[in-house]
Amino acid sequence: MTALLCAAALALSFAESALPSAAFMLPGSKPGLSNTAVMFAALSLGWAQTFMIVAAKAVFALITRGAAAALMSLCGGVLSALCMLLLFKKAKGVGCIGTGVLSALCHNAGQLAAAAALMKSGAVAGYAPVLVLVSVVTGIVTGSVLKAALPYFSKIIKAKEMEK
Amino acid sequence: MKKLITSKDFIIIAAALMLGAALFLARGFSSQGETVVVKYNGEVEKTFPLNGEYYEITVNSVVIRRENNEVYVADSDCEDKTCVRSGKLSKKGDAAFCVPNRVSVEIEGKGANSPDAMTW
Repeated sequence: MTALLCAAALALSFAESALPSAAFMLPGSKPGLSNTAVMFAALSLGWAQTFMIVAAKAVFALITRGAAAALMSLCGGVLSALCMLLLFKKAKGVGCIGTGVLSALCHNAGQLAAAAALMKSGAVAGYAPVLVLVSVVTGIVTGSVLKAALPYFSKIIKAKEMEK
Repeated sequence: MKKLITSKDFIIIAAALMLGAALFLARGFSSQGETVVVKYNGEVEKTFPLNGEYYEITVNSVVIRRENNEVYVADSDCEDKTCVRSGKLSKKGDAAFCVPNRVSVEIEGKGANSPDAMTW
C-alpha cells in the first residue's frame, strides 16, 4: 500500500512538472498535488508510511532536479507531514481543506527555511507574501482532491486487507 | 470527516488570507531600494546601485540585468526558472533566488548592510 502511494505521489509530482508552469504560476509555487498522497497516508495509514512517502518524493527530486531541490523537498515535506499527522490524529473538527491549507503553509515554510540555509541569506522571506496566498489556494485544491479521492483509496485498502 | 469543509477550515482559511494580506501590505509600503546585492554561495559577489543605466552581469550562469531603475534576472540555465519568474525588483527587501545555481539578487535600502528584509 505504501509503495502504491509512493508511486501515486511520484506520478503526480511528475505530471505537475510537465504542466506549463510559467503560464499561470507565480514564482516558486506549484499546485502540490502529490501532497494529496501524503495526506491520505497521514489520514489512513501511520507515521512511518507517511514519512516513507516524503522520503520517496525527496529521492525523486534528487534524481530529477538535483541536491538543492531534494533538500527543499525534504524540509518542506517533513514539516507538512508532521502538520497533517498532528491535525488528523489530534485535532477535532479540522477537515481536509483546513489540513490542506495548513500543511501547504508548513510545506512552504520548510522550503523557505531550506532555501535560506542553502543561500545563507534571510532575504528569501521576500517570497513569503506570495507563498502564503498561494498556499491557501493549493491547500483548498489538495484538500478537495483528497476528499473526492478518499472513497476510492479506502476501497483499495479494504481489498488489500481481504487478500491477506 | 463527513463534510467537505468545516467551520474550523473556514477559520484557518480566513487566518491564512489575513496573514498573506498583511505581509503583502508590509511589502507594498516598503521603501524604494537603493542597492543591489548579488551573492554567490552566500558570499557577496557584486554590489551596485539600483539606479543607473543599462547594466548586465552574469554570475554562475545567472544573467542579472538593470534596466529603467529596476533589476531582474534575465536568464538562467536552471530548470525551474524561479529566479526569472520572480520579475522586476525595485523595493527594499525584494529578492530573486536561483537555488540550483546558488545565486541571489537582493535589494537593500539605506544602510546597505541591514539584514532586515522588511520595514514596518
